[in-house]
Amino acid sequence: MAPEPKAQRRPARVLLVEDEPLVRMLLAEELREVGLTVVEAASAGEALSFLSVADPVDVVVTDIQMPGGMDGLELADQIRQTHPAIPIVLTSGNPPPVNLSQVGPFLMKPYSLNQAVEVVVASLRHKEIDDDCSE
Amino acid sequence: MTTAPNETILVLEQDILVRNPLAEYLRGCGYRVIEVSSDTQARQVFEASDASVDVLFASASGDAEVAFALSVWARTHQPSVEVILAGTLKTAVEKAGDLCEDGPALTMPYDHGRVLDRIRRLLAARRRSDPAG
Repeated sequence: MAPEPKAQRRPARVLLVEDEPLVRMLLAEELREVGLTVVEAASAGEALSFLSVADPVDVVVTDIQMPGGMDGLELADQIRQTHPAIPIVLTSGNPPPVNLSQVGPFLMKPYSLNQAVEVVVASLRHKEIDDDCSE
Repeated sequence: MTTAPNETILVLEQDILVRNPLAEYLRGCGYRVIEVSSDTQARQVFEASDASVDVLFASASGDAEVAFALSVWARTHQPSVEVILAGTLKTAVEKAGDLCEDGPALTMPYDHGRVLDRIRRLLAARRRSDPAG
């Protein structure tokens, strides 16, 4: 008997957390160009609001330095506790303040949009493999 | 759905759970949508040369004064931009005055179809008055 086809996957959803609107806009548009769905959050608080009630996301891309009560590292910590399967990509204009190898890939600003898209897509591929293995 | 190439909507809404579905809906209708959560971010977008905005959708659902102030600023500094002021408060509608020149302010929860209809009417009127635009 032929194997049943896998249910068609929805487009992967990226939660992009970046307080600089123009940086956010450019990267979001580039990610949409390659077929991803992008949710734009201007702060860690917005990102957590979205994660708490909305549909699941497949990868989080977050700036480290952000105004407000929570920076990107704290956001990553929270997400790792509540959504451990979601890969996290960190970005910053400064060298990372701590060893990020346990958190996820790091993109140093200014990054090229191609480079950023490659990192995000690679994170999604890893997640897909992990998801398939856990099924 | 009808495509609307090269037309950009700037959506100011503080609540991501309101902003995101509206922005996705408008993108699905063919518009380029830029999302901001504050007036500071909105002004950064206006001042960027590569972010030519056609319509400002300013939601007064959070801090109404922010949406009013940005609408006034846009009227003064970006006269070619169409402004849609939206929000929940009755006082917002009263205060809006002529900031939102095309009918009463839209109230929440936003009916995405009504927002789209307002955007289309504003842009169509602008094209009629400035065909070269």
